[in-house]
Amino acid sequence: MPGIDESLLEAMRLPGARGASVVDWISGLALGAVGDAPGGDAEATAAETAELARLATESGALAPAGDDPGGPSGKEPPVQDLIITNADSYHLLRFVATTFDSTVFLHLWLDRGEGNLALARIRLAEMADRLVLG
Amino acid sequence: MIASAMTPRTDEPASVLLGTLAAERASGALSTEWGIFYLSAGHVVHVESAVTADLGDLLTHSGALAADGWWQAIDEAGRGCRVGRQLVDSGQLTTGALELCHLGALFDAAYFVLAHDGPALRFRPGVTHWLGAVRSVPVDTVLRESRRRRELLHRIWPEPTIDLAPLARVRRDTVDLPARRGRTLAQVDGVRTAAQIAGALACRTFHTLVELRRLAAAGLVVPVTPTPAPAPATASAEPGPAPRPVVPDEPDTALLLLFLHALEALLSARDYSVPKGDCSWPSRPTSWTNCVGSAPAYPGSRAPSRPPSTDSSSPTTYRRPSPRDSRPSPPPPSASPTA
Repeated sequence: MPGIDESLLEAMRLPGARGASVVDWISGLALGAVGDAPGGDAEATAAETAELARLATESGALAPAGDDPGGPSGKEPPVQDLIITNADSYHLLRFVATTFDSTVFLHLWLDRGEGNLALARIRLAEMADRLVLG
Repeated sequence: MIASAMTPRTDEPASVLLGTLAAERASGALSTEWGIFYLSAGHVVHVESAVTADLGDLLTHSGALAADGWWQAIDEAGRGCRVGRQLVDSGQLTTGALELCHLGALFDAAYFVLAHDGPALRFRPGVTHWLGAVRSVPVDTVLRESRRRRELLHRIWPEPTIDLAPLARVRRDTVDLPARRGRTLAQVDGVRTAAQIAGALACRTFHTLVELRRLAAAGLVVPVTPTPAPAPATASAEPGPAPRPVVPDEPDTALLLLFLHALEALLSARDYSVPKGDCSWPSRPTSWTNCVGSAPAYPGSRAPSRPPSTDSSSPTTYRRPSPRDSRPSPPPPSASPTA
């Protein structure tokens, strides 16, 4: 069963992967990081992506239609992932659903020329599940 | 006053001592008024605080782990200080889940211990935690993160009384809130404090504080009886009598503290040898788990035979004069009051 580091190293094996991290979206802390970070600053990257992730989880407009935010599914973030695209790279943020209080997501920084976004999105979802479910 | 006279205080803030211990690659348990840091080779492996839920509470109260499974792991692996590993080996948790929850609890507790950065009370070399090593964190990272969290709370709503006082709702009408914030608001009843609300939700206390400060910033939550502003954290770094801790008024905590005192008095009641690698395995883990993090400076707490800055590579022996005396031991002759 993979731990944080094994999951991040697995993410780094995806074609075009530049860096990967596990980030708490409420505190903005990177619980683990491998590879490069934009600007060489993993902590600043974690804090900034966490703020984006938090806004997404708190957005009523981005939640699935018919979702009851106060219902039992309220434990899970209503958003599954975020994809940010710039001129040379993708940032893929995949939320990790846990029964216990964790509020974390996987962040994969992917080279736009070498990376395969569709593949990375599927793989990152699998990694997020395996990280906590085995 | 008695406590400060009998306890080997360094009068250095815990954060400073942590830096020193990290540089020495020390292993052991560093206690403050607000909790205990466990170090291994200069890295933080575990932190306990009286106002945050521990790993067991976070896992079992949320339903992620059956309470029976938790206790079984403690029964089987507690004495060997590898409860965390046992949870994974027995298939109850993935390594990832254990690491995520453990780090969440570690940084949560560290924030509250360092937010009240009082003088370190004692360092017990060689003592390890019964959970065992899960994922260690450099001391620098923990100190920096705790500072960052303090600034984050301040940016959201610069009113620290929210953190300790009982909280009340301002309006009863329904407000459209994000799910997590809504659940937090639903627990605000005019009686409970942030730590108690976090406990009721099986959430980390800092993360609950973030929601509560956002609710306060939105004008939805106010402290019921504002407590006198606690002394600034920096003031406690100055030499002099240690400030009294502003402990949230929780009856359970007081009871657990009493129990901790009794436990430690029992341990002190005989020659107590802590070889390197031994762990702070308790006979009753439930109570210990909950109260060890609040280990206070109480009269007669057992004193390390050497000051914290000495080499921690050899076993430490604690002695008290009367084997069956359950009362706190008097200060060792060499212990000089620093306050």
